[in-house]
Amino acid sequence: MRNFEWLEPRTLEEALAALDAGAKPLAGGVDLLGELKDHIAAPKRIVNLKRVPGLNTLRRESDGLHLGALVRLDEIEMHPEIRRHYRALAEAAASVGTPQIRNQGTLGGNLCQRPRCWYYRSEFHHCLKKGGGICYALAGENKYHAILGGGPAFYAHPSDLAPALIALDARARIASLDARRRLRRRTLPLEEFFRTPAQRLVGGETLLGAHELLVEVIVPPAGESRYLKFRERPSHDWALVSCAAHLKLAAGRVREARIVLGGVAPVPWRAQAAERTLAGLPLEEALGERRLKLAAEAALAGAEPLRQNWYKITLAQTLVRRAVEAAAGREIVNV
Amino acid sequence: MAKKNVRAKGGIILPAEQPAAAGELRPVAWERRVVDTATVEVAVPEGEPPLWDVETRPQVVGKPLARLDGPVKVSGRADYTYDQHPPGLLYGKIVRSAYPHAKITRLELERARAMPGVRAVIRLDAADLQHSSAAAAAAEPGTPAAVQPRQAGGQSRNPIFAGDEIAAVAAESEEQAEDAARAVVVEYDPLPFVADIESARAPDAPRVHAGQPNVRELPAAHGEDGDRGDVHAGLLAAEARVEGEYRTPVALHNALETHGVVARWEARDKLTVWAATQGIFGVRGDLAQFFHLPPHRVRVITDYLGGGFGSKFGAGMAGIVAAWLAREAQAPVKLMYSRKEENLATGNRPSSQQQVRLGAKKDGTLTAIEVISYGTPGIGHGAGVGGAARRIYACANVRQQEHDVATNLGPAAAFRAPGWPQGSFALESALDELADKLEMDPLELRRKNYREKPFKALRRQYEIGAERIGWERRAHWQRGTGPVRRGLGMATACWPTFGGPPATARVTVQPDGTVTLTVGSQDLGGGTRMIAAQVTAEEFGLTPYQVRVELGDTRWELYGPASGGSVTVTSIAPAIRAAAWKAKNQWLEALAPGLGTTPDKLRLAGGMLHGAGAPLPFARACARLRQATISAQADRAPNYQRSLTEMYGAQFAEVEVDAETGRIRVLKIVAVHDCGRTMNRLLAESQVNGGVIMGLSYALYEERVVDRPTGRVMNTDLDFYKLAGTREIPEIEAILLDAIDPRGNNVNAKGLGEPPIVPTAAAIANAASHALGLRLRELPMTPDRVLNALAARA
Repeated sequence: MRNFEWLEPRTLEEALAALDAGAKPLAGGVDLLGELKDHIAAPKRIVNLKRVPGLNTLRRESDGLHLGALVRLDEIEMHPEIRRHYRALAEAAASVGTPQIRNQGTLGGNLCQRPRCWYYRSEFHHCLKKGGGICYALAGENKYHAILGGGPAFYAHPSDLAPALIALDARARIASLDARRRLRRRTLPLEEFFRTPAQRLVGGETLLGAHELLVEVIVPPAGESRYLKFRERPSHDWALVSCAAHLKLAAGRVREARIVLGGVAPVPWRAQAAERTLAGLPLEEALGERRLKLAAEAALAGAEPLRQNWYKITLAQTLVRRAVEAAAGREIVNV
Repeated sequence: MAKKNVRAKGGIILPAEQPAAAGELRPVAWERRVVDTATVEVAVPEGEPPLWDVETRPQVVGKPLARLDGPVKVSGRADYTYDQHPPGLLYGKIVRSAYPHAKITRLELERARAMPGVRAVIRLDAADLQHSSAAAAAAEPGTPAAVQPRQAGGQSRNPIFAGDEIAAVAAESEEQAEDAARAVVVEYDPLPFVADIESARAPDAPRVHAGQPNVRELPAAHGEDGDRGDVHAGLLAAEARVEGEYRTPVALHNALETHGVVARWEARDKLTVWAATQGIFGVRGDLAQFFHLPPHRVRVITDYLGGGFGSKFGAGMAGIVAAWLAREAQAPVKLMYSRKEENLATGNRPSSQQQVRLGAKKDGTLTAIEVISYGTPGIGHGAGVGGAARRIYACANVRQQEHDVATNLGPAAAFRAPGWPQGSFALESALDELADKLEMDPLELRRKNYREKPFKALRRQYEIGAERIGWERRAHWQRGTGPVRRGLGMATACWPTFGGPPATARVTVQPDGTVTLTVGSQDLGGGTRMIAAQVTAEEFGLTPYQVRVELGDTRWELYGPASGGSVTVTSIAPAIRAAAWKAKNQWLEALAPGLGTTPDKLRLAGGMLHGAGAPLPFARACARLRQATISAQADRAPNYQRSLTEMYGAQFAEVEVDAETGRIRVLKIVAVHDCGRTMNRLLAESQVNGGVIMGLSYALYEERVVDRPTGRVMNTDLDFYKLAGTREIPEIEAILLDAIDPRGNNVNAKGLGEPPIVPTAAAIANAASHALGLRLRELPMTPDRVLNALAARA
């Protein structure tokens, strides 16, 4: 492992000032330490964010729940209000890794984590994502890779929290310093936070620049939501496919449906075509077998599987159907 | 050797009481029922203790007693190889090839040598350094590695797999060693390679081993447990035939403790190593040969081992390199592999592609079994598919033709029941397909082709297993409506009995009452220490916790076999009993005159000496001998009768499959086994649980994935290589019968390490196929494969 400089800023301004292209911020460190040990990241400086005040708070305000970027996954998983009012988020947090990982991992880290593609994680494969000239997955072992939104790289986005939060219409707050080194904050829909490989190939999968930090996620009041995650090995695994569904119901009708898939694309994949097939319908009709099938097919329309991942279409369709049913309060077969 | 003939009764002891459910206290004593008895004449060599037979009721042996080393292990006080820190310790690290096949055009060590803390840098690319793990794979189960790497010669050797050893460094910290290893400059000229069976079999394929074809047909076995009869005639005579290709993946051992050694030179010609090994004498032999030392100048210590599963025979590269670095640096060196190195270079279970043809009469009588297999052991050997097709069922016409297909990947090594889980999966799947075709119950088909052998418990095991899983429900089975379908399946376990001489044990009784058992074995983790203590305690009427056990050290010069092939208990327990019996008799003879009696009047039980007035506590009796130390040594006698039956077992699985996600969930496994006389019911159940869990993981999750264009293994860590975790483990009911065959050894022991992994994948595959109404012919049965199979049918 290459030696690096270790900084422990006490203010957000100090932290932002310490960040540049050769530096990496450290929250829980779950992903970053793995990258260092696998020799796929070699930062000159690591900026520990854990002493920056205010990043690990969780509070309710009039516009919804404010979650600091350093709030730990186990706090989200256990939080009574989140479990009651944002069930998809609690389920997503609970589905990450193992208890040890959730006791260490943070909200911000989960959203900003790097791909779990085994070519990306291999020191010996100098792939597109690391500045190389080829996506090895295209002709290689691509069972775990993207079926939607891929190209020129085909990794699948690994975050569990991102699909749940996007389904819940969350917004991301980003901090940076302006030219006069004054603190600036901007807020945008979390959905717009992520970048496809066509938009950004090297250095990250978000719009964050080297001098910026994700500091907070704001979740507005929500309807009924669920997050289903299908793991190859249930004990501890990444999603082969996951699905967050969020239904806003009023007077027996689906006023709004938000459906977001994980594990199928290089970004959390919002299935707007599927949402449209359900929006405005009486709940009974939305949950009819025919309508659910239409929604599931719409969600996967345009899928372009690689040689080994055709199965993800069936799997994702199943998860869309069951997630919608679950969000509507129906008993489903556990995935 | 003089022998005397003794009449003894063999038979099956059924557990009348079912194993306790989780959380319940286990009964310490249990009622048993003896069935299927027969009296046989046994020629027992002179000097052996009195024969045990089916009527023998040992007081300590067999009981479900907690293992001796439990407290030190769970409290972290047990020192494993990694925990050894001799003063002045350095850390070793190996530089490995980045290419599957290449010519090294430049190897530059100077930069690494100049790094901070670096004390030694050596080249490992000499032409005659061979892979000892490959050698270990070629060795018979239970024997130390037959071939060792030799001292470096002159010519440079091309790396032949990505991960092949090129150089090594030793430095004052692990981090410095890793930095230095990365500072070694290696430049390659990549050469053509093969990374899968298909390309390795192509006529113009690059050769893995220069001058040798990639495909090698393995020697055929003949006779009653080998090829026999005429398979073509058998197929022609058949009234029903099935044919199919079955595939199994390369699986990785992943013992919790990786391979590694701590080596310290005590003098120019005297070496001590702490080794993570299943065979201390194999390690000693390898190191003595490599460094041209008399074996007694090498001491190998293995106090505790974190698993091996067949991959830890012999010194291996880790052992050779650690000792070599230690000699160069003139300081002790620890070289423990990382998980990634472990999964690249220390062994694996070879893959298989098996073409199976079965023929049968309408009543189910098998007329032909044919298996033609190809598997890759990487650069090693041993991709055969075991003895399931040849040994388990009665069939007059059997042919099994096996092939190793070399590829530029890490070497295979023995892996718990080498070949058998692969062979079992293909054979037992094909049998279920045959049963479907015959419209016959799968268990009935197996009973129909039962192979009779003396003191064989399998018929009883089928009965008990079928009852415990509720097999009778299968006759009017409801697969279920909706996406979730249920199924039942079963398969037969079998493994040959290999144990025998040589093995030597010594029992010493000190005046303070300490009874010490010394044996040249090591505890692989299964509980050898505890069983050694129980057998000793049995003779002395003590509890096993009163016995001191010394093992895992070559310095006593008491040879014990490597722990593999399910031979440990079978080999050492009879020697231990003989030594304990001799020591006890000597002790009684020494004691009797002072008590005014004769030894035959004295008896040891419950920690007391009986027969001379008031019962005398054991320690007080010892004290009567003042400073006299009693010691007796005994060798493992040859098996009383040469041929013994195998160990058998039957496993039954109930599963559910979600047809919309492809998930197979195992609900319950009933595993009924025997190991001759069960030495410790608790340890035996653990052994069965472990085998079933490993078999389940092999059935559903594990698969080494190779990127064919680059020849590299993609899943060397435990994130990408998926082992079953806690949530995947179903209810497992482990049931042990005692199949007592008095013609074997003085404790009626057979082995148990391997049989429980043999049929698990097959039983699960049969259950899942039953649930889906279609056949899954490839392991692991991951959701993508299940969904693909369903899509192919639709």
